[in-house]
Amino acid sequence: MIFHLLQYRLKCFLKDRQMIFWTLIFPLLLATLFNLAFANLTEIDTFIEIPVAVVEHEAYRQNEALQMALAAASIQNGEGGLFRVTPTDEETARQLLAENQVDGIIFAEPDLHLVVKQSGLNQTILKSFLDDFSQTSQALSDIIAVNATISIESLLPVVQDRRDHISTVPISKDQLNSTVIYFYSLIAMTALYGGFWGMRIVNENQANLSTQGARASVAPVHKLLRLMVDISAALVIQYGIILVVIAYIQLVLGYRFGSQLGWILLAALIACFMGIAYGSCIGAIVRTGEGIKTGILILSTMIMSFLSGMMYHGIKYIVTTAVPVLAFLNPANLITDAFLALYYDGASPRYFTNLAILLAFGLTFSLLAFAVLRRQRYASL
Amino acid sequence: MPVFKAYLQIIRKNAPLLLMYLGIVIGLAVMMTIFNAQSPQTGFTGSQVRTAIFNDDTQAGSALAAGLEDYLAQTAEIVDLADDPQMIRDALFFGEVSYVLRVPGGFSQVLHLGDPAAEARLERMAAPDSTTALYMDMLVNQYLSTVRLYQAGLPEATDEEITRLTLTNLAISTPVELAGQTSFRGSYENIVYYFNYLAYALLSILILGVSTCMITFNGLDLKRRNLCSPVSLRSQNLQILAGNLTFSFGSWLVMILVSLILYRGAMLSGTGFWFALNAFVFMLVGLCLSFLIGYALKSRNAQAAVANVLTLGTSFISGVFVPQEFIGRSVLQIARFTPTYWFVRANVAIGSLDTFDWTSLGDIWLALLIQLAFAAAFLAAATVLVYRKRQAAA
Repeated sequence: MIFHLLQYRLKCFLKDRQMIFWTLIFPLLLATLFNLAFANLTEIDTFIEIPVAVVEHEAYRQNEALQMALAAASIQNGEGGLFRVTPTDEETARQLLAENQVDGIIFAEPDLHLVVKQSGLNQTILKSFLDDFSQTSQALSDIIAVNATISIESLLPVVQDRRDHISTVPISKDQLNSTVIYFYSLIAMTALYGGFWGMRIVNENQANLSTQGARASVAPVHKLLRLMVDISAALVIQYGIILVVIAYIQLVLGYRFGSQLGWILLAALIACFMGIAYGSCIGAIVRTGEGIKTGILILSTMIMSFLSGMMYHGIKYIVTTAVPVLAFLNPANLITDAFLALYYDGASPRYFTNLAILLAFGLTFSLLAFAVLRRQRYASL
Repeated sequence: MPVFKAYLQIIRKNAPLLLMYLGIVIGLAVMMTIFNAQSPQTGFTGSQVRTAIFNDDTQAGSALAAGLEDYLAQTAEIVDLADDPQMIRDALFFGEVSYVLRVPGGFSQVLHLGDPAAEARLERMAAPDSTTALYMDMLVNQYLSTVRLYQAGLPEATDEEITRLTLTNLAISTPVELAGQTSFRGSYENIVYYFNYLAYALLSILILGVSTCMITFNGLDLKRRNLCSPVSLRSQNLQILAGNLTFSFGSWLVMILVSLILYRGAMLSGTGFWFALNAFVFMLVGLCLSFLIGYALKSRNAQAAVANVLTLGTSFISGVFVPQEFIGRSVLQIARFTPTYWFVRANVAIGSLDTFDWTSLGDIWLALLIQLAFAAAFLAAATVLVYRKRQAAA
């Protein structure tokens, strides 16, 4: 009997093309689009030599120190430097700037100055380089003015000794690749969209909501059994869907989920259960038409996904630091955070905390739904 | 005009859904304005990298470390962060800070002795190979080399004096001149965002509204009923056309009115006119596309799916949500085959218009013409479909 019910419930679900679109195809589509749009975001800040023009005025030709400083900072034999310098006349330089071929023009006369088209980091680096140049000459004349016993020649080694005082704490690009947030909250959205199945189950088991519900209610099968079978069917399908989405994101799009497969599977399972329970809860508690219920499910899912960073990853950080309670009460954020914890440092306390709260949410939603559904009798329909 | 009235009634019934999209575009635009709250720039402003600095060198005689902190407070945007590894990692991950610098205890002392064997080291955390890290490293090293230069030149000076001299020295600033700067820059940037989001919202509204009406009127029962009414087929079609035009024009008008409320003066300029014109042309594209979809779809079940796939898909690859310059080359090559790409491209070009001469408008005209070509193509496809369907019915 159980297998009969399960088999037909699965068939019903799988043949619902509209539902399969929203729970499976739509997340896959969004993942693909995210990948197309965000793939280059991490590369934006990667340093590329700054193209700069320098105007070959008389003042520049005579300023050997500036020429040397620029030469030291530019690319030599393909070696990475700070700048790609184009020495040229003023007209060409302005032309290059207008066409965005260079980020700035260095003028040596009347005084050393910079011409740029807009404010930006590259322009700031150019300015900082010129600042450094003027500052060093000023420092030298400061010193000579006070300490007459010292000669400039003896200070030159100090000027030329550009020692690096900074040691880098190694961070891999993976550790800073915040685009994974978009994909994790997409998984959260997919899990919450599993609520569509839960809502449909409630709808088709309630005699006052649908004719299928009325028919099912007169069948000699215990209501709890039928409900359990339906929920298992939903869980099987939704779990399959979420694994397909995860596999797609990791294997096809190449975004990592951490390396511990077992814990990933567990997080996905609990997320699915929570999502279905959430949908059933809305279906049971809200007493309006199906359209409104669907609207509530979609809207709440979108708000929760937004707050967990699906549209802009910074939101998750803002919510977590400004309103920590909201971060713990948002199932989408819990799912996202569980995957993020796995990505960071595997099965950590943070991961288990998230899963425990998720499980508690899932159980609460299920109990609420069941409390409404149980022992309902109808005199007439 | 009974058909026209029915058309408007269908739209009115679907109004909440359509208004939701208007809400989305307004919400996104307002959010962008808040994130992007910059006063109109008139001069050059240096970039300030969001930096957290942890100074462990706080005992007596650490003036050099304190000076570094002062220097960075002037040149970078200092963010207060709890000194906790997890918090620091999260802040770096989410871009709350881009650069974390730690001054180890006794740093000033080592620097003071100037002993090359015991090299003074600062620890920094930042994205590898990033421009921000390179720039901040440059600033920090600039401070330290200046300190060393003064130390070498003035061996008698105390750390406090050296710090004071260094900070005065580092305040020397090179004059920067801005070439070809328009004064309204900051606010146009936000208008460009608004009109880009509009590509998503307007297309969604048009597809949902127009195709809903088309599907309703093409429903078998309604069609049969209408065919035996005393209103001629020609008149019916004209009324549906009038409905389509009214609805599309109305949607466009609402969007423009919202932009007038949001951006006021900036929209009443020559640039504002071009934004509105571009949106109008895009509205025509959307109308023709929706007409085609309305005829191609048989039921409302697939409608939401088709609408979402089309609007989200084209918006993402064409640079509506993420600016075009950040999207990969190959993706943009594909995006060229969508009208949204040209709409966004025109918006960006309009936003950076300095003058309204023929050469600067050339790009925009091209984008407008390509959009019109898309509209014509969609309309032609729809016409073919309409005739096929009629023949099949007959």
